[in-house]
Amino acid sequence: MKSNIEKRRSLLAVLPALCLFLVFTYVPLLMTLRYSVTDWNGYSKDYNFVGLQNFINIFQDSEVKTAFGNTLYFTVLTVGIGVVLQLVLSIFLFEKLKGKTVLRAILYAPCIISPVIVSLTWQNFFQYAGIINEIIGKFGLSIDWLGDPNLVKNVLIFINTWQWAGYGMIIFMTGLTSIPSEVYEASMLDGASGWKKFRFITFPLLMPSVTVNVFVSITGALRLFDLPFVLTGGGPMDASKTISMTIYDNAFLYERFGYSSAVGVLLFIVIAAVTILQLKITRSREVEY
Amino acid sequence: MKKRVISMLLAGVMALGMIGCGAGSSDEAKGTKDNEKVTLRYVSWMTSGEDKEFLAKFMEENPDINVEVEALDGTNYDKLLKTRLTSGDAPDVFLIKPEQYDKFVKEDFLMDVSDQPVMETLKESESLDSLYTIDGKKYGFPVCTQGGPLPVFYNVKYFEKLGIVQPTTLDELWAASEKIKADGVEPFVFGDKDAWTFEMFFRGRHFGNYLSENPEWGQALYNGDVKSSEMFKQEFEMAEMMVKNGYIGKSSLTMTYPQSVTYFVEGKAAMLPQGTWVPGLDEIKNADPEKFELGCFMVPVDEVNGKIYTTGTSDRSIVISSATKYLEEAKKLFDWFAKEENLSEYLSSQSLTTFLPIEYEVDPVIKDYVTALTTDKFEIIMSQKATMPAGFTSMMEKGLQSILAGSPATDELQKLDTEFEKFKSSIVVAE
Repeated sequence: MKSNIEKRRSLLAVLPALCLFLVFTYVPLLMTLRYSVTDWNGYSKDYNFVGLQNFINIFQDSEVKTAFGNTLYFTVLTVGIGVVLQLVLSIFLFEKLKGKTVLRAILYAPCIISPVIVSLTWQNFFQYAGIINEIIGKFGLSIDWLGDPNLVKNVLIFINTWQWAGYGMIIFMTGLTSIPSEVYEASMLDGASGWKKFRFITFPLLMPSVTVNVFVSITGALRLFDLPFVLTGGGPMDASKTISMTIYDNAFLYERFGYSSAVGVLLFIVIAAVTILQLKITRSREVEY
Repeated sequence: MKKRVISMLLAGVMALGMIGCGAGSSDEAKGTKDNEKVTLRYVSWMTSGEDKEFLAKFMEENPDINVEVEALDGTNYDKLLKTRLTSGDAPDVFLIKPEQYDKFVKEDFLMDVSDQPVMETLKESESLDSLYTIDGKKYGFPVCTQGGPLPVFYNVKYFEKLGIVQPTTLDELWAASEKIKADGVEPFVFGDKDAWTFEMFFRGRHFGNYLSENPEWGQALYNGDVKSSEMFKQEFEMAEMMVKNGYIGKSSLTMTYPQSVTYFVEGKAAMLPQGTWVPGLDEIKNADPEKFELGCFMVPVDEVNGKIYTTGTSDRSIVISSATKYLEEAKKLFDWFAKEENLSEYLSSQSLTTFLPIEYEVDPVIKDYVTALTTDKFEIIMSQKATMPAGFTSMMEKGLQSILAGSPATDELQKLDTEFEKFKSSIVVAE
């Protein structure tokens, strides 16, 4: 009886959040599904159902293909570099290091700044007539960071990795805290040290944090929008255009809301597939202790 | 205990948030009529507060009407406004861009204003009058118009130092550019992070000789009589030539529009092709007169049988929402805005131009430019049966931006044809 009341109470507590979540996440998702089979332009009163035509068109759209390639490139590199960096930082700052609290705060700070502000700030650094070129110009160098189609992708990866390094670091640190010291003591008695300690104890026991961090990084990178949108507008020559940006462009610029919904649905499927696969892989490597 | 305190705090925050939302939405109620004072909502993209200052005078003259002026971001204006119009949150009176007119009329977003007294002024310009007429009705009034080849601004002191006189042909312009380049200064600067700045340079001259025989360029594209890659070949190749010869520095590609003005004023670049509003910018007004004196010439264009054919647009138009609750007051504001004495002040204070016979003060710097445009030599084509959507401009912007980034003009011209197909269905064609 008592537990029933408790249950109802908890349900009541969840209700407001659940309502908001349903209205702002699931309703739009269902609406997108519906729009994706129409030729709606985003504001007109009339539209037609076109079946799967939008989905077929995606595979002939060179812009979407380019954007898909770019997004994949961002994702592989930001996740690869990002997670390793986060792990290294957390291990360093977990040790007894002087001024580590200050360092932690400094490293964590970027991820609480809005990506728009981050982009605008870095823009001043990376522009051709920007701060970095002004400094290296003193040595007779100049690099077209944002104007070179091959370089601009890597600049985005750098900024994205920099911004989220502190966030992943905190998650790894929580993971490190939860590893019982007895395990380490036991391993030391067995003669493990340094690399071996990390390889056979820290890393396997840290796997749940790896799961979370890889998951967050992958979904974040696949949906990347605000950073390139503000920093480069997707240019030059679509070199920094992501899938999310083509969704936006098609919906609001080309007034092809139906088509852009179809791209959105496709991105949803890709993200879902990738993350399910990733969770399967990393989860299977998590160990019990 | 601690947990409970935190959850109570959280609940409190949430409740506050909800109150916040509630308060916000009641503020935004569409024009409120309290104590007989009507509040009209007015929206434009003039984010430096130009319209607010102007409309304050209207409120002084009409104490029973309060105008709530809101400025939306210019780059995203179309998207933001469309969202409002479709969600039933339309402002009562607002400004629109040329590409919005036909589609908004088609969707019944705008009020028929054909019978408003100020519309008589519109009849004085045949081309503008036909531009605004759809099925015999008119739904807006041109606040300012733009057309013809773009003005190019330069520093008179610097040109004098190099002994350059105002170029009147393209060859002279390139010769001047060579001279400037040899002096170690960038000849042209564009803020091409905002891609419209570079596209604008070519806008008045996109069509070359095509217009003299075929004024309906939009329909020709729509019907497939001519391909985009053919129509814009000349201009894309000119852009490529300017990049290859180093007439445009590398910094232009990643600079914003405001930064390009600073760059120009600082003397790092010699010429700034921009809109007629440049003399009105604070940065230009505050420049050191010892080193900087603004001058202006028209970018040279080829003549066809002694005439110059270019396109023009109604830059900003004022319209009334079809959903307004305060039609009478909205019409009052509409008429006041478009009335010659008020409009003239609006144009003079922001260094804007119009093709309507309205007396207004033109900044001395652009006087020659404006006078030249009104001569018979210029055939400025405004009205088009086929109205291009925003996607068209963005296609041109992207193509030209890519050329600036080093892509060959032939590649970009080819891309135009595939891009064109994307928005073809949203082109509005009048019968």
